[in-house]
Amino acid sequence: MVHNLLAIGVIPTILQSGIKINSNLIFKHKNSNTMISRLPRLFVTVLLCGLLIVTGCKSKKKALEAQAAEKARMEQEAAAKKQKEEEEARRKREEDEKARAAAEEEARLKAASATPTAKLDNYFNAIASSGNPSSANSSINEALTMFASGQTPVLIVIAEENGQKDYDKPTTIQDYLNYLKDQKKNLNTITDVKFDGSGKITELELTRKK
Amino acid sequence: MRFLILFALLFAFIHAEAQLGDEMEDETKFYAQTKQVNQFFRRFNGEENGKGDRYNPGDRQYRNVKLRKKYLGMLFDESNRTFSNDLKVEFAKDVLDKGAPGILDFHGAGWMAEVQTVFSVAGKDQPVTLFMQLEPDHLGYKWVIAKVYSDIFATYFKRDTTKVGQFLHPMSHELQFMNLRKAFMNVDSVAQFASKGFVPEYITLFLYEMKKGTMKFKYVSDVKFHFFQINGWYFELADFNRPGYNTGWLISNLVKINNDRDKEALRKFIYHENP
Amino acid sequence: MFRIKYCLSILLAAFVAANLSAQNADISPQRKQAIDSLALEKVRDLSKYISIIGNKKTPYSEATRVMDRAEELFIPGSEMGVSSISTKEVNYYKVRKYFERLMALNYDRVSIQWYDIHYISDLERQPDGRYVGVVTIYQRFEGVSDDGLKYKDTTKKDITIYVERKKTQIAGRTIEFWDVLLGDIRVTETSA
Repeated sequence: MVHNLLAIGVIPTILQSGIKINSNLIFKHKNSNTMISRLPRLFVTVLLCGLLIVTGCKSKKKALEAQAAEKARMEQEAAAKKQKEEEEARRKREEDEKARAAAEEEARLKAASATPTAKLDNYFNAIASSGNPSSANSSINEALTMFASGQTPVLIVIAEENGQKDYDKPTTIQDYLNYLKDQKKNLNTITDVKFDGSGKITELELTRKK
Repeated sequence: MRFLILFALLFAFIHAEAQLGDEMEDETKFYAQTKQVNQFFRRFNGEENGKGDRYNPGDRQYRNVKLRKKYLGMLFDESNRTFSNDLKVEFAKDVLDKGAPGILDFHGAGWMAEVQTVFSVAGKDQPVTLFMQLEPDHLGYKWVIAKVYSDIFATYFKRDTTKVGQFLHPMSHELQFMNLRKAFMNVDSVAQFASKGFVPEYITLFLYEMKKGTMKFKYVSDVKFHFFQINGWYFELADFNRPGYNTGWLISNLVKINNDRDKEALRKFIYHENP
Repeated sequence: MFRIKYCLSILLAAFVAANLSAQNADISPQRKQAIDSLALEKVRDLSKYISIIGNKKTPYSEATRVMDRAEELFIPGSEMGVSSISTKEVNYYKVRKYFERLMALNYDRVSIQWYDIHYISDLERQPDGRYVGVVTIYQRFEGVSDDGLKYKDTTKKDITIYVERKKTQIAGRTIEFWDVLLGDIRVTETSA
């Protein structure tokens, strides 16, 4: 407010007036009649200045209030927007989560109901194409749960002619899975699987892909 | 030679793409190379294609004359000028004769390996040549040492039969050959008391020295093969490890044999035997 | 009497020849092809193991485990015979020693690659009935040190393969299979 009044030169005028007034007052003391005649003018000036100051302050205040209100409004809008976005994101997350869970459940159901051959083949491919040993080992451990033991025999047919099969040296499932991990190649298809009473694989026959 | 270039171009087209890494050159020259003696047999006989896949009896291309002709063109050492092109052509003509084609038989007689080895004898490196051949045994076949040659063995029996030299006189028997004692005093001249027709078998010496431990095997330095299987011809097979497309097991020598006497003379020459 | 002996000798020779011929004709071309493929696969397995062993990024324990796997491909006593272009001398190493030397090579980066090309010989029967053959392959080796030292070579490897018909019992029944094992390997540096 003071700055505004300075800006319009009111205060210097007032100060000048005041000094003048004071000096006037000092001198007018002797001449009280002059001073008294100047009083209304002074009063008006002061009043006006006061009014101006008050008005200015009020304006300022109003401006500030308006500003604050605007700011508050903007903040409110932003908050509302943010909240909306967050809600949107949460909703989307929930939807995705649901979809993923549904897919997993579907896959689980599918796997459970899928043939062991397909499941086992998926494991073989996963191990052979695995990017790191720990991931491969994880797949190996999972695959082993399908078998009666790690020593379950694995036969690999390399050729068949007139009903006679030529086999590679028989191995165990443990060794075969580690071989897939080391060599990173799956050359065989599953052609025969034998199970025990509890659904565990007791013998596996593979045939070399052509 | 023409076939060699065609061969190279064919596989340059198929296999020119570089393998892993910038430095892997194309494999064309490896395809052209006669990589094994077994491959030499198959190419000579026309029993495989350019990629090395086998033709079986009954296949149209099996021992096909045109195929064999093309292969023959690339089975000679091109850097060798000791036998002329005319000789090669004459050889090819006999080999590809429709009535009696010359087919090499892996299990047949008439071919052998000359193996250059290095043994340690009394702390010194000594070259020893082993002549080896394939022979049937029980359920299959095996390589055996047929003859041996080494300069150190040759000196064992050195003698000059043209001069009179030392001898056991014709009445030695009346004294129960007591002059043998003096004869055996000089170990260097004992060979003089062997019969004129005596021909040492170095392989016996070799086996004896090995058993005694005086000779110790170090390594094989070179291998080549001698073929007498094509009627009227001899050729030598050697390994050429060098840049280019004319590499691997190639015919390094070719001789026309006119009769059995020539054949025997050549054989003795190879074996370092006196004719 | 002499004639009888002569006839018997001829008959015996014919029998032996026929027997040998029959043994070689036991395996049809298609089965031979399958056995060749099996043998080639063992050679490829070896190449993979060698790449892992020679790779400087392979941890020591992993390289040791892989060396054990690689050694199982060979018959006991197998050796590598190695020669270079510059000298005719051949140095011989047991396969395990060869792998250990490969692992210990003083380079910071090693690249071992095998060319696609391969050549398989006929399978020949040994006196003990086993079949033996040779597979030829080519290997490219590059070794680089941090100080800029670079070494590279191309070697031809002639690998002995033994193929034997064996039997084993699986779940109470007899299974016949082809046992393929590697043997001695001759390593020759090829010229540039």
